[in-house]
Amino acid sequence: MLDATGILTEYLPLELFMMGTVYSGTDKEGSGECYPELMCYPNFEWILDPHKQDNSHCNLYNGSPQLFCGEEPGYKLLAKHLNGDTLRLPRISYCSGDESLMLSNELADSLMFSDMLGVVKTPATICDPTQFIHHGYTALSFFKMFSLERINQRVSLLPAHERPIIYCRLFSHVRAFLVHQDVLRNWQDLKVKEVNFQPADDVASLPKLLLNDGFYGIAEEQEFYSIEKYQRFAPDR
Amino acid sequence: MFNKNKHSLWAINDPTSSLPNSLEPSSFTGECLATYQSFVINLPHGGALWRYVLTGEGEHALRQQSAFVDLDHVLIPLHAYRYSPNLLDNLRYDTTSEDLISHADIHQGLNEVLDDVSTTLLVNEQLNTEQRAQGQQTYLRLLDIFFHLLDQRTLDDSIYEQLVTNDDSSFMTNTEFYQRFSLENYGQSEPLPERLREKIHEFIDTFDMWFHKVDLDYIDKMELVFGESRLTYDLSDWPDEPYVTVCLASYLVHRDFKNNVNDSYTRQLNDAIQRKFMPCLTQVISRTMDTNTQVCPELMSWFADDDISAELSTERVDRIISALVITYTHIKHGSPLGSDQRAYRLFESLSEFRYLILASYYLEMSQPSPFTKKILRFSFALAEQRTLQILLSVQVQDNYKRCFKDNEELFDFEQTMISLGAPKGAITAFSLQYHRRHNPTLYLQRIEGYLKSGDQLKQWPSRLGKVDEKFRLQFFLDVYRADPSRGYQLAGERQRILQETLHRRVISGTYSLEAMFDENEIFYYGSFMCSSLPDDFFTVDAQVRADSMLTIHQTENPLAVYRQVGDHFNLVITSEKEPLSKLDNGWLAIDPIFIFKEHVDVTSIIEAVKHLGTIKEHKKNIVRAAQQFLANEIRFGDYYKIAKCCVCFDSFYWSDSSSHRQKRPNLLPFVISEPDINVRNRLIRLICFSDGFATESQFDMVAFELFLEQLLAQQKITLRERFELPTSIFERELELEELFIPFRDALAQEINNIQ
Repeated sequence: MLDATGILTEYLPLELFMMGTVYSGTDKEGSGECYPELMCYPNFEWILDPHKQDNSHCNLYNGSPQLFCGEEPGYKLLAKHLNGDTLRLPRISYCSGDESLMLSNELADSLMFSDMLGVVKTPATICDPTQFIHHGYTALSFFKMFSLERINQRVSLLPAHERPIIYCRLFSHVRAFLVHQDVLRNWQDLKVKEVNFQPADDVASLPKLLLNDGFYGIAEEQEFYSIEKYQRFAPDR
Repeated sequence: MFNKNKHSLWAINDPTSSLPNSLEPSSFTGECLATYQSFVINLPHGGALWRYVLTGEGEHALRQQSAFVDLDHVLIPLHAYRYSPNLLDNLRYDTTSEDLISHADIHQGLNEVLDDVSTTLLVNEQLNTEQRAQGQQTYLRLLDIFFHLLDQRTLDDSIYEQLVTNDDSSFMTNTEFYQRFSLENYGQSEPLPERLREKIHEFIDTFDMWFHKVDLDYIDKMELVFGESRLTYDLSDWPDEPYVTVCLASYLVHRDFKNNVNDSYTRQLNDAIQRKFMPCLTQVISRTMDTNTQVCPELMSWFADDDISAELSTERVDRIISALVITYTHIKHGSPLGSDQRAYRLFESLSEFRYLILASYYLEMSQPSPFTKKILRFSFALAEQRTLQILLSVQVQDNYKRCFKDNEELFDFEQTMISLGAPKGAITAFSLQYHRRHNPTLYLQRIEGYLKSGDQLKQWPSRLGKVDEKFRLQFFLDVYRADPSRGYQLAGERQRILQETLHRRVISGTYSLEAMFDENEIFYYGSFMCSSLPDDFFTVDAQVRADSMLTIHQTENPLAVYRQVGDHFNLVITSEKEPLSKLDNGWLAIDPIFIFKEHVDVTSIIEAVKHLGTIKEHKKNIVRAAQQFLANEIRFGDYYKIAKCCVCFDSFYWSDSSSHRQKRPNLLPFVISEPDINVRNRLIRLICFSDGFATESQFDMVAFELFLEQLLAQQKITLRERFELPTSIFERELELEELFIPFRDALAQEINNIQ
C-alpha cells in the first residue's frame, strides 16, 4: 500500500480468487448452459474435523496435527469425473472462522513469525470432497489482530522476515491479512494462482481500503466448466 | 523499549529460583490466585512479575527492563496450556469464541475469565478495610499483566464497569482507569481512532432514533465512549445532528463540571451550545405554531431576555397557548393525557423539543442561566407531567421500569424538579403515580391521607387533572375500594368518558356503507390501484351521473360506488365529477371506492348512500343510543343496529390503548363502582359485546376484575394484595383461576340475558 505510512507500505491485503463452481460440462450446442455442478465454493473453506469428538477449534494453539475437511464432503459424481485422479487442492485458501489460512507446506515452510504476531502453525491433513486425504499442508492460525496504529508502533520493531503476514483490523467488523510484498513476490515466482497479485485500486490503496467496508479478501469468482479445466486451473470465467 | 533478543527474556525464566519464600499468597488471596501463580511465574521475568502482583514491589525495575511491554510476545492460550490448565479451562468457557481462542476474545471476556479473583478480592464482604484495599491493588496488578499481554488495548467495558461504576466493586475514578489501562489516551495529538469515531456515530444515531432508550444504563455506555479520550469531545468528528448535538454537548459540559474539568474541549462544547441552541429552539417552536401568528418572535425575545423576573403576561401566555398547534393524534393512538392536559405537537413523542428540555436541565445543573430556566418553566407550564417524564428518563437505571433505587433518590429528584420550576401539585401527582407502581405501601398511606384530608378533598380531582386520565380514574377507584361508603367520587364523569370512548371509534359516513350491507354483497371497498387495468374497465353511465351527483355531494362523503356487471364495473353513484381520475402513482384519486356484486339492487345502493350520515351525526347517534341502552330505554339489538353504522368494531377496544385488547377500559372503574346491578351489567354488555357476541378476552378480563373486587369486599384479600395480584390470563394464580371460572360463567349468563 504505497500511499500508507510506516511499514504498512510494505504490505498488500490478501485477496484470493473465489473458488466458484466446477461443472461437469456444457451442452453440445454451446448455449452455455451448464451440466450439474460437481463442486462449489464452500468445499474450500476448511473446517476442523467435524467428526472428531473434541471438535473445539480452541486446541489450534498447541500446534498438534489436525484434520481439516470441506464443509460438504462426499460428491460421488465428482469422484466419478475424476476418473481415479486426485483432486487438485488450492495451495492457499481460507479456513472457516476468519482467523486461519491453509497453505501448502511449500508456501508455509518458508514463513517465520515472531511470537509477537501470535501465529501458530498447525500441520494439517485435508479430507477433500471425494474423501481423499491430502498431506503436506499447514494451517496458520492468527490469534492476534492488530490495529493499523499498532502495526506501525510496535510490529514495525520486528525484522521484515519475522512479520510476513499480519492479521489486521480495518473496521470493527472488517479484517484483512496483510501480506508482505517479499512474500507475494515469492508466491508469484512459485506460480501460485489462487492469489490476486494485482488487486484493484480500492484494495491496494490504504485510504480507499478504509473507505471500503465491503472488503472480504475475495477477488472475482472463478468457474470451471469441466473437471479437466479445474485440474489444470484454467477457469472459464 | 522492545528487547529484540527474545532468548534473553526466556533465559531468566526460572520459576523455582525466582519465587522467594515470602511471596506465597496471603491467606485470603491464596486460593483465587493459585490459578495464576504458575502462569505468571513462567512468563518472561516471571518471578519478578509475580512478586509485583503480590506486593507491588519492583515495578520500576520491571519497566526499565521492558518486562511489561514485552509481554506482547506471549500467546495467552498456549502459555495457559503449558502452565495453567485451570486458566485454560476458564478461557475455554468464558470467552465467546466458536473458533480459536483469540486475544480479542480474551480481551472481551476478561471480566469473566478473572471472575474468581474479582469476586474474592473486590466483593468479598468478609474482608476488613485493610484487606479490601490490599485485594483491590492486587487485582489491579494482575490486570496490569493482562493489559500488557493483550497489547495494551484499553480494557473492555465490562472491566471499566467493575472498577469505575459498579456499586459493589468499583474503587477507581474514570481518570485513574484511563491513565492505567488505556495507552490511547497518551497520544492526544493523534486523530480520533476510527473505533471511537464509529462508536460516537453509532451512539448519536441511536440517541436520535430511540430517545426512549436514553436512561442511566445508556448514559453509562455514553461514559465509556466519551470517558475514553478527550478527543471524543471534538465536534468535528460528530455527525451533523443539531438537536442531539446540543443535548449531548450539554451533558458533556455537565460531566466536565462534575469532574472539575474546564479545558479547550469544554470551551468548544460551550461555543457550540451557544451557536446552536437558539436556532434549534426557534425552529422547533415555530414548526409547531400556527404560521399566521407573530407569537413566535415575541416568545423568542422573551427567552433571550436575560431578565429572569420578566414574566409573560397572562394575555401573552394565552396567545402563545392558542398559537401552539394542538394535535389530536393522541386520541387515535391513545397516548395518556390528563383530562385537563392539552396535547401540543411540541410535546409529541418524537418532537425534538425533548432534547432541548434535557439540554436545559444539564446546563441548569452546571451553569444556570435565565435562558435555560425559562425553557424549563415554559415546559412545565405547558405540560408538567410530560416534562417530568422526560427528565425522569435520565435519572433511572432502566427507562422501561422507571424506578429509582430507593425513596431517597426519588425525594432528591422531586426536590430538584421543584427547584427547576415544577409546580408542587405536579410533583404530588407524579409521586402518587410512582408509588402506585413501585411502592404500594406508601401509595396506600397517601390514600389514607387523602381520606383524612377533609376540606381539601374537593381539590384532588383537579390536582390530578394533568396526569394520565387512566391513573386519575384508577386513583379514585382505589379510594373507593379503601372506603366504599363514600362512593366513587368521579361517578359524575361516566357520561364524559363514555362519550369520549365512543367518539374515538366513530368512522366516517363513507365507511359506514359497508356496515349497511351483508359481506356477500360487497365485492371490494377501499383505496383502488387501477394502473394495470384497461381504461374501459370502469364505465360511467351518463344517466346515473345526472341523477345522483348532486345528492351525493350534499352528504359530505366523498366516494364512488360501482356495481359488477359482467366483466366490468359500472358506476352507480359518486360524489366526484371525474370519479376515474388517477393519481400519479396509479391509485384512483377518489378514496374509498365501493364495488357491489351484480345481484345487489341498484336502488337499494342509491338509497343507502343517500342516507349516509356525517361523522358529527354518527357521534350524536351512537352516544344517544348507548345512553338509551344503559337507561333500559332500548334493547341491545336496537343499539347495535345503530352502532354498527357509526363505529368501527374491528378496533373497538374501549380502552385508551389500541395496542392490546387486554388493556383495562377507562369505563372499568365505573363498572366496578356502579351500585345498580342492572346498570353495571348493561355497561359490561356495552364494553364486551360488540357485535352480539362476547369479545372473549375483554369479557374475561372484566369478569376477573369483578371477581377480585368480590374477594376484596369479602375481605378474603387485602387492598395491598389486590394491587399485587396479576390479572393477566397468563400470570393468574391457578388456585384463584379455579374459583374464578364458576364466577365468570354465572356472570356471562346474567349478561347474556340482557336483551
